[in-house]
Amino acid sequence: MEDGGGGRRGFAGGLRASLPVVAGYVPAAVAFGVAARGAGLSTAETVLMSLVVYSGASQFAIVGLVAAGGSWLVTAGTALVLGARHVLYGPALAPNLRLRAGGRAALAAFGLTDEVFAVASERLAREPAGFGWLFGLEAGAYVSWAFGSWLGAAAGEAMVGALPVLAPALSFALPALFVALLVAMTTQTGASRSVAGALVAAGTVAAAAYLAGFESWSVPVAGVAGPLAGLVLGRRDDAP
Amino acid sequence: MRLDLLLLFLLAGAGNYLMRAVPLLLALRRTTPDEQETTAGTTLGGPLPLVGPSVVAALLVTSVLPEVSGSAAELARYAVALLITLVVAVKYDNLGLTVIAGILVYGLISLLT
Repeated sequence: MEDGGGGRRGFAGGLRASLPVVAGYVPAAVAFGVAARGAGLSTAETVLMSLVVYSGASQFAIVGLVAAGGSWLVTAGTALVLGARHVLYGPALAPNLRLRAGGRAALAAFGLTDEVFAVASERLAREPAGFGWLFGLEAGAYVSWAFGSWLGAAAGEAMVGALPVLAPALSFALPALFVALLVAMTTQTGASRSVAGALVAAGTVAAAAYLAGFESWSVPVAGVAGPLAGLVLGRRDDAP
Repeated sequence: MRLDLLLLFLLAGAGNYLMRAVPLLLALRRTTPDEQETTAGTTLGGPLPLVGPSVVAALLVTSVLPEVSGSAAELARYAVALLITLVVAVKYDNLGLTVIAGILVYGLISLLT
């Protein structure tokens, strides 16, 4: 048994666990860097946004609204609404996280992005871990997001121009990561009716909300509807 | 550096941080170390264990929809690439390998069609 994911070995393990996230983040961040430069932001402003806001959906929204000349308040409000899904992540991870509420937890909260949550959720259900592991996972993701943003802002257009197939190919990185995580999670929990029901309900609700124009609410609403559907189906399974 | 952009980043960053930090800190305060030891490696009851898979399913849907909306050819490319990615994920059970395979397969399909 290692140190519970709390020390240096935990940190190294977390860094290793961040590699799939890095593979997804670098291309997405390059795309963000290119979009930000296209909207008139400087390379320094682009990297600063990635370091401070650190949320892909919010950052793309900010870039779009800045480019469209949106008001300051509308832009900030939109970015905050898009972040609403994050309120689900802490409570879902906490039971398997060997961490006390305090300074370390407050630091770890900064890096709790969608993809970090997804990887942590898959791993922690198998084996609880501490601050070191989570911090390693978050450090790898954060550095790759900042690096990719800089790369995209500084040289993204030249890279895509030299290799046109690169942009569409890299756009598939995040869907591929989510497929891999879903398979790992369902293998772990077993393909019960409650898990299958939760996945179908979450996917359907997310698609319906997205297509109805409620893009920013699709993930948080699905994150509530999926577990509720799974719970109902699980109870039916348990009924005598 | 424009001051209005800096303030915008700080406001959006602070809001995002609070939405991540407050629920985590409250949940950790409710979960005692004894409970964490008890739940180690076990399957928790209730809806919480289903939040992760549900959110990932929703993220998958919302990452694919903007790319395929309004284009049957793109939808077909994504469907084939997702299917092959799924097969790799099931067969090898390796996150990194699956991501790289997915990128390569989709790039190849885009190049050929």
